Amino acid sequence: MVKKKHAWTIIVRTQGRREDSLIETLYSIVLQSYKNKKVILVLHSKSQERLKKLEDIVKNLRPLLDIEILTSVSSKKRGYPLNVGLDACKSKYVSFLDDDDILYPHAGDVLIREMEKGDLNFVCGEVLSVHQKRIGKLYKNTAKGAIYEKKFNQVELVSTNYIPIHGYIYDFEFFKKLRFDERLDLLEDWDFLLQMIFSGKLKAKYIEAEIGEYRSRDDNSQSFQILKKRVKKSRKFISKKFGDKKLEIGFDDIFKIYPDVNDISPYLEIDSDIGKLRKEVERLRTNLEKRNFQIEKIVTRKGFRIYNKILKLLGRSAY
Amino acid sequence: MQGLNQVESPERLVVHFLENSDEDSKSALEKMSAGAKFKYTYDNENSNLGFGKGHNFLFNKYKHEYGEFFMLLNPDTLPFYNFLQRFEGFRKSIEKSEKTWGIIELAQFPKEHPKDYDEKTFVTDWASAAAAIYRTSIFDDLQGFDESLFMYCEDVDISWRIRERGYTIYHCPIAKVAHLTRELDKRKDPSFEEIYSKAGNLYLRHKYFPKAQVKMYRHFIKGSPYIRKIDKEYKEILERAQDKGIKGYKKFKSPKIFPDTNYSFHRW
Repeated sequence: MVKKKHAWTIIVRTQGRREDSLIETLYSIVLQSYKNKKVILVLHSKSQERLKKLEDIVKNLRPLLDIEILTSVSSKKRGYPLNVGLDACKSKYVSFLDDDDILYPHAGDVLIREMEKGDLNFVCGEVLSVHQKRIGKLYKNTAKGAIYEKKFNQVELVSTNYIPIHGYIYDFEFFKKLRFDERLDLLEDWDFLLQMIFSGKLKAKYIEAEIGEYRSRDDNSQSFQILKKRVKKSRKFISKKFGDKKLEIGFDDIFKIYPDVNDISPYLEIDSDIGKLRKEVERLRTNLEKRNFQIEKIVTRKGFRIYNKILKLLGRSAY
Repeated sequence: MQGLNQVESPERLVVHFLENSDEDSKSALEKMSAGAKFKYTYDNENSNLGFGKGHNFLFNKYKHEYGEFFMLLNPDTLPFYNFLQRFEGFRKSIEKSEKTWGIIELAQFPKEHPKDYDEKTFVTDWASAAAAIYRTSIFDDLQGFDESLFMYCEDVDISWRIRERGYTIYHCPIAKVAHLTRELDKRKDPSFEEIYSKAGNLYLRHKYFPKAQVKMYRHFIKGSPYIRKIDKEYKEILERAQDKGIKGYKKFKSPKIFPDTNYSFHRW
C-alpha cells in the first residue's frame, strides 16, 4: 500500500487587489505534483467587495484545490495575516506565498522529498526574480534571473535577507509556536527566519532546483525613497531585537559567503574608460568610412575635443 | 478533464479526444469524465499518428460540426477557468479593427512561451499549437497541418501558410492555459523535443528557404548528441513530404519571415 504523504499547507497572503496575479498564484499551487496539499488564503482587508471577489475566484478553483479563506484585520501589519494562517494550520509542512508570486509545479515535491531524506526541518530552493513590464492592463515578463544560488548559510542569512518568503518549506512540528512579528512594517519574513536560527532548532539545506518566481513590477506605486525609509526602520528594529544574540561563526561560513574575495582577476581593457573610448573611435572610423571619408589619423594632444567635434558633425553625442 | 470542467459554461463545449497510441484509454477516460459538464467524443486509431496527422484526423471527421473557429489543446495543459471569457474579450477587441485573424494563441503558464509578440498590437510570427484557436475556414482551405512532420514545427509551418494568405496571428496574453512543458515536468524525455524540433527546423528551411539555410543550420547543430537521430528523422520527413508531393523551397513573397532575427527564434 502506498503511504499517504504528510500534509502541506501553503499560506497565501492577499489584499484582494490583484485578482489576475492571485489566480496565477493559486493555479501554481493547483499544478503542484505533491498531492496532499491545502491552501489557507488570508485576506488582509476589511473590504466585503474584495472578499466577495475572492470567494468567486475560489469557487471556480475548489474542485481542483482544497482552499480555506480566512480574513484578517487590515489595520494590523504584514505579519498578522500570516499568523492568522499559522494559527489555523494543522499540517506537518508549511510554506508561504504572496499573491503576486508563483511556485513551479515540482516545488513541493522536491523540497519535501529532500526534507524527508535527511535530518532536516527546513529546505529552500532557487527562486527566480522576474521583472514584469506593464502594458495597458496586463503584465509581460521582461527579465529573469536567479535571486540566489548558494548553499544555506545562517551567518549570511543573519547579515542579509536573501531568501524570499516562498523560497522554502519548513516542518511545522519543530516550530509550532513560531509566529511573525506583528510590530514590523517590513522584513517580517527575515525576522521569522532569524527567530528560527536563534531558536537553535533549525536544520536547513539549500537544493539546486528552481522552485518559483519572485515577481516585481515596473509600476510599483511606492517610491523607492519611502520604501528605503521603511526598510531602514525595520532593519533598525530587528537589529535591536536580536542585538544581544550570539551566533557561532566558523571560518568556513565566512569563506562560503565571500569565496572570491582574494580572487585575482585582471580588469579587461575593454571595460575601462580608455577601452570604451577606443571602441567608440573604432565605431566612428567605421561610420566615417561608410560615408567614404578616409581617416589618416585621429591623434592630437586635444584629441578628445576633436573627437567630440567629429561626433557633432555626424549628429551624435559622446557616450 | 478537470480543467475543462471548470471553464465558465462548460456545457457549451464539445471536446474531441484522440488516443494517439495503441493503448485503449476509453474506460479510463470514462472514469475521469464522470460528472463532466461538457460533451465529448473519443477516437482511437490504434497507433500514434503524430501531432499534425492526429489533429487533421479529428478536424476532417468533425469539422462539419464546427463553428467559425475551433481550439486545439494539448493533454498536458490545464486551462484557466476564465480563459474562454478572456479570449472572447480579446477577440472582440481585435475584430474592431482586424477581421482577418487566422490564429489566436493563448498564453502559457507558468513559463511563458519563449517566442515574442508585439506589445502594442499583440501580433506574433507564429502560434504554438499547444493551446490556440484557429479559424475553421482557413484551416480547412490549407488542408490542416503538414503531415510530413511527426511532431514539432507543424505549428510554425501552418502559421506561416496562414500568414501568407493574408491572415494575422495574435498572441492573447490575458487568456491563460497552464502547460506542463518538458522544462517543468522532469519525467518527460528531453531527447524527444531535441530530435523532432531540430529535424523539423531543417525541414522548414528546406521548404521555405534556399539550400544554404539547411546547410547552415545542419552545421550549427552538428554537436548535438542526437545528431544521427535528427538526420534520420529529417530524412523520413523528406520522404513523407515527397510522397505527398510537397516540394522544397517555396519562397514566400508576403508576409516576410524573419530567419535572421530572434523574433521567431524559438523552434527556428
